[in-house]
Amino acid sequence: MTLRLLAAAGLLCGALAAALAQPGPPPRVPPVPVADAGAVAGRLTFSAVRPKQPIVVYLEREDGGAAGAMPGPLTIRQKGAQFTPAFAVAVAGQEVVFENDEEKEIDHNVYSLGSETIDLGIFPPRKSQNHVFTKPGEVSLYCSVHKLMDGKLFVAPTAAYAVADDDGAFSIAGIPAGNYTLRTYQKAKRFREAELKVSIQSGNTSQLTVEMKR
Amino acid sequence: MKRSAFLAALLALASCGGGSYAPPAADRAQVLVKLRAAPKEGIRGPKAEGTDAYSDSGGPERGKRFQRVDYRHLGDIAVVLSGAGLGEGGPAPKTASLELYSDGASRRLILMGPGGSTSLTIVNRRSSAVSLFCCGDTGDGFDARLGPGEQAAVTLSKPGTYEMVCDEDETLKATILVAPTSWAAQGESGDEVFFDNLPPGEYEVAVIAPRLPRWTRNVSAVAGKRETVEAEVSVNSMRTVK
Repeated sequence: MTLRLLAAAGLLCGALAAALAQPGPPPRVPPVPVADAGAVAGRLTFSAVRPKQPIVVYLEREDGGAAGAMPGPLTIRQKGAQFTPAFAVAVAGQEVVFENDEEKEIDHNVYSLGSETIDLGIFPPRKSQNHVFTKPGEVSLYCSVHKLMDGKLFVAPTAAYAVADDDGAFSIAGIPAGNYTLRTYQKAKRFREAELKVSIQSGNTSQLTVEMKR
Repeated sequence: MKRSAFLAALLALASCGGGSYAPPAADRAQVLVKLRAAPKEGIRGPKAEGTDAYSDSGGPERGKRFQRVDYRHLGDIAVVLSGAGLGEGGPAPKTASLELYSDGASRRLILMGPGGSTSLTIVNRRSSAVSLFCCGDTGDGFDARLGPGEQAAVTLSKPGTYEMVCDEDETLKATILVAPTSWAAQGESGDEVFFDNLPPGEYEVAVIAPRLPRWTRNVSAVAGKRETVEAEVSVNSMRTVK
């Protein structure tokens, strides 16, 4: 048995995170190619054991503008009393479709706590509810009917994001040239969130190593 | 006892919000919080413990996923008082426990007092080892690897909310709430949480239930009096978007 207390200093964590029921990275829409676009590629390194939980790498434009085209609707299904995918990334302003896909007459309710608190009501099989999350941050998804039905959504500020793979590798393409801040979001907090200034140049891929420290 | 005296006594008892608590000291206050968890309005089918019709196929694991929330007996509801001048002496637990089973954790929300005043014992009742990671929004936290039957005692100092996850089983999770003051306690739906011997003052009562929006209310705790508040935690308090 090993037990270690984490250092207390400055780990940037998000809002209350109810954990999720389904592993694996979320599906995502590939960035749309744009003129004068560049890319970033790199790897996250970790100062300690990394939990088997998703880490999102995303970019924010220094001038607050958009980075890449808005993806189409993201669908999160409710089937088998689970959110599928149980973790997903949406872009602020992207439409999210919650679809009750149960085969039997099972109603679901979808509500969220976190950066955006909303209740989408109760809906039966073969019905859906849509919502556009506009506030970047972490959103916990629940069904008030079923006690184990939890999901999580990270609302990224721009479309320039990637979910790091099991080795920590990531790449984001189709980024308009400009100055950005690269940040991370961990579904299970363990390291200080990274923050890095990045300059994107047209036709170039910036290679980065991002250290995740405690 | 004369009839008028009996009626006066009965009236005094009723104004205290219940009859099972001793009256407050002349220079101290009391706060009584009546807890209730309510299901969302409009839900079809059973409102209490039960499982939807899917449990007849796919085995027990699949059936488990269709278990409904039992709002009548919703447990692990935390009540936390905060405000200047509260001081020490609250009822926050000195010890707490969390047992990890093959079908999940024994508790969803664990309340701890501030400054490391609560020792949480985590026991692995599973037949395999678990790797636990716990971190809060202050950066405090712990990680632990527990073999079958092993246990660990942890403390957390900084007030805040901590999430514990398990590498081997994503359904094995718990939220740990470290209260800002020792004036904190837990109960279940239908319980009364009673705070006695409070210094008079203006306080916020926060009720935190697993998976539900936080309920808060400001109360004036007056010397020699008992303030009774009825707290309902429910999705019904949320903004509905359709």
